[in-house]
Amino acid sequence: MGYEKMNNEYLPIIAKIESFKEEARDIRTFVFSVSNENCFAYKPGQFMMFSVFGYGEAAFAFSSFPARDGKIEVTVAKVGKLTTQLFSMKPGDKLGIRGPFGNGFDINALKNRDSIIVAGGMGMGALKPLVEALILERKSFGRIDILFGARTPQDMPFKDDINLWSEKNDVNIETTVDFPDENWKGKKGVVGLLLDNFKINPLGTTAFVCGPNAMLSSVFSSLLKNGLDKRDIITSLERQMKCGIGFCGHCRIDDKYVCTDGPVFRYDEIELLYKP
Amino acid sequence: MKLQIKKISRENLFKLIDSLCSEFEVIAPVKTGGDIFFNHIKNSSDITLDYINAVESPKRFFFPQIELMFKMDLNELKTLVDKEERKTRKKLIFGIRTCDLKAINGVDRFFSGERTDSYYQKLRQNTVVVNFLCNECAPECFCTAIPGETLYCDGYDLRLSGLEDGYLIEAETEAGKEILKKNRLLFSETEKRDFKLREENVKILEEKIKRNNPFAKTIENLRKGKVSSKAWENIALSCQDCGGCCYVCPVCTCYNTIEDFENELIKRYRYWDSCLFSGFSRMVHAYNPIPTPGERLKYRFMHRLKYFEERYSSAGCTGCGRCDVVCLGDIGTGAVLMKIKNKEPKCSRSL
Repeated sequence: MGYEKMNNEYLPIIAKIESFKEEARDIRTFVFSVSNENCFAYKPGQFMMFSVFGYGEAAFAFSSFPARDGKIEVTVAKVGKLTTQLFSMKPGDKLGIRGPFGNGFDINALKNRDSIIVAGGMGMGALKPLVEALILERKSFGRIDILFGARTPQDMPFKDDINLWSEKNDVNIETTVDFPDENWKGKKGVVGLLLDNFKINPLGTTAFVCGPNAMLSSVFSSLLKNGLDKRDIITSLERQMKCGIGFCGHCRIDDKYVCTDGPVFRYDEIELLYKP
Repeated sequence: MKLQIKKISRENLFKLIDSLCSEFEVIAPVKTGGDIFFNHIKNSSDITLDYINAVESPKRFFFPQIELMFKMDLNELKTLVDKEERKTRKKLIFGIRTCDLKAINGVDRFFSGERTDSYYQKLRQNTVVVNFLCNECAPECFCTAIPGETLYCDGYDLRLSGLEDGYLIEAETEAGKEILKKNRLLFSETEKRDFKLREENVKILEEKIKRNNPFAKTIENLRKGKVSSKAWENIALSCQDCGGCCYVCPVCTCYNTIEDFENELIKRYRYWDSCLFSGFSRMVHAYNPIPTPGERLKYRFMHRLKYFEERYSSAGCTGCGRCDVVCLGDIGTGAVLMKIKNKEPKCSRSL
């Protein structure tokens, strides 16, 4: 039996860079065209494995929902060798993708509930498809509040999308940066501070949190202080991954694999990671 | 499926091995420079039956230390797959001890399920497994010291048990029965006392291993998380970051990937990794969710002794003791359990 006769999930398929957009300093949203239809049937919160040939493979979340015209979008920060190489690539260049992988968000469970989305910097990339899924059927869902923080105004991605949601889709947005410049109109300080004066209906609200590790612990504890149940706090985790299908072992946390059991987890499933 | 049991003399066992060599690609224990390794054999004169266990488990025959995943032609951007059909000859692994059989069962479950690892399946399929029950144990053996574990394990095609005047040979699967049928002239019928003798041998050995390794209670405490972070950090002080424990472990299958250029051809390989390496979980900006040696050691032990078994209903540590033999810092599984039990989690070497 040859490899091709078996369903080999390790073989990447080819994706072509159609365009890219500068979202913020060293953050770009790449638009890829893919010939394989399986890649479009993804849920918000799922991810793909991207191969930049010769530089390896890494996991990136889909950053928009749904796929449009056979194209998928992924937002990438330039942080290491693979992403630096990706940033040097031009429209027309090709790379490999595998996926979609992971569990994704349970959108149906949010019907008629309020959603509060707390994101720090690139963490918004994993939550953006969720917001887009909610506003596709805006009337089925309750209030949507987005609390979004970044280091500086130049480090804040998705500004255009956020303005659009706020103007057209009845989404309440509050932004904050640690280091504002003279043109900054939002708040100053870490994103957790926005929660301090925030009124939440604890029984009818689900919170979604994603961002750097330093931010997560404080946001989790403020949400709990606001009376939210642990099961109504949802996060998307990031780990080193080599396969995406539960075999390489790199993303394991105790008895769970982030790639197959996650990356979306309820707070009660992962709270041990954030105990002081 | 009903078990089929026969008896075979030592002389005829060698004849059976010769007969198997004509039909299968046979992998068996071979003595090399005083050490025992699993290796391919041509005929029964290559094999040794005088061994407790092999230095390495047969893991590498299904999960090679380094394995080509695919090639990618950058000019055409096409994945080139290995067109060369592997030999259609079936494989037979002879002389697997029960600890390694348990490991094969566990890794089989790990690599299949909702998704399957096609590279593993490809090497694993069409392999006949011949289990050889132990008659004695090595100083590092602690298989039956793990709560609930015995010297018996299902999942074999054929099983041999040594007696004074030959061996019992049992077939559990169709493949095993087929071998018994084809070579029927080599076997004789069993007698009641053969089973009694085997039962006695097994009981004695199981008890001896338990006596040598009195840490069943320690494993239960460890599973309940009763070992302090400080104890893990102290024990981990003697870890040399060599990864040897994971390489020799028959159940460890974590891997990393690497790509290699050859002109316009990219080759992606996977190779054995170890969760004790600091880079195993390290991410961008040097953020590491498992940052200290103690946490990494705990991560490995909890997986091997608790989480693997819970998830795959198969032993995550089979008690083969190879990690104890290979560890430079005296913190193999058996050694660590004894240190925890005796509350002496001090590093044995001054570093």
